[in-house]
Amino acid sequence: MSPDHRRAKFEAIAPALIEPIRRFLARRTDAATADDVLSETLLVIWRRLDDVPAEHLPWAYGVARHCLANAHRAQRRQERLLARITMLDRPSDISRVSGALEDQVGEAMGQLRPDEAEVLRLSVWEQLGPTEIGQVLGLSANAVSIRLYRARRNLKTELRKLAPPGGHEESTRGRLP
Amino acid sequence: MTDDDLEALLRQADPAADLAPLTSLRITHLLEDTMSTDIQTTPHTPAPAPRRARVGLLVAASAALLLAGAGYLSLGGFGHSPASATKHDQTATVTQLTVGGAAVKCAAPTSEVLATAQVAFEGTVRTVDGGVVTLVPSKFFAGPTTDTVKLAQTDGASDVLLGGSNTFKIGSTYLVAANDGQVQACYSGEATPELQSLYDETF
Repeated sequence: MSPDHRRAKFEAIAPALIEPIRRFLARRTDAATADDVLSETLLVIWRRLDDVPAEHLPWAYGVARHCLANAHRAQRRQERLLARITMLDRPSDISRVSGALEDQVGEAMGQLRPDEAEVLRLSVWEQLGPTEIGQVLGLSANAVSIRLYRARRNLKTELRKLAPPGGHEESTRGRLP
Repeated sequence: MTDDDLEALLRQADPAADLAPLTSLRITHLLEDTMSTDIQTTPHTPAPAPRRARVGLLVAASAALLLAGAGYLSLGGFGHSPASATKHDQTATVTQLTVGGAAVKCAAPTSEVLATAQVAFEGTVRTVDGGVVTLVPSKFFAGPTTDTVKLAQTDGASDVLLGGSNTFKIGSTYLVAANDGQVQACYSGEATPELQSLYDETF
């Protein structure tokens, strides 16, 4: 591919990927790491332009996921600890109207196995179907569906465990039917 | 709790819900930063710091390249178009370059990438006037030889880039490479021993 063609292809593909990848990263790491990994992800896409499949986005999520894992490994090596890549560990600078509810959801997600939490994130937040999730994670759509089923079931169980007893129970039950 | 309830709950807890989108300028810079990186260097390869710092002098992203009197190279830059039409000097040939102002992160320069440059030359700055730097080439390593090279900023570029105190100095010698209509910012700069040795090694 000539340099001109490379640029044209990248310019046709990359702009639409930036925002989804940013959100993907914002859901999984701190803002500074997200910035770094976004640049790194774009770089990998640029270098692997010949490998980009017709379905850009799941592939790009897979690249971002890999870059994020690398970044977190590097951070651990530098003893800048990121204990768990879950929203439980996210910095609390993102303002929310219903903070308590999100804390609860975050805590419940943190109790799931990481692979179960990840299929839920990809399904609900990235709004991918089982086939696309399979492309991101390197799994069959069937395996994703099974994992999603377990993840939902286990998350509901964790949320029930977290429902506070006593006076707040009623309102919580109202929110978490 | 139904699956729909669960999804609604999760959506409410989306950490990216409040994430403001990037500006189009920031997106442009991101893309340009990415495309200005050579495609053969592997990520995470630390570059030797001194070379990085010095080679990165021409902190410019995209540049459209016009060759007057020596032909015209196709323009493939992102978001930039030639600032002016080709000017033909009846008496002297001129290579015209226009330079954008976005910052670039440079990976470690390699001889293999520099060797692909379609235009590469060593030149001394003769004048800096109104954002246009005129260089007198002493040697063309690649591309058609012209009598002078003019480097002009595109809209929005920082004044620091051209004519600033630590950028193009009259009388100083620079090494500049361009490829497919783009100035290779990471391969262009003042002719420091590091950059000179890279050019010597390549050409």
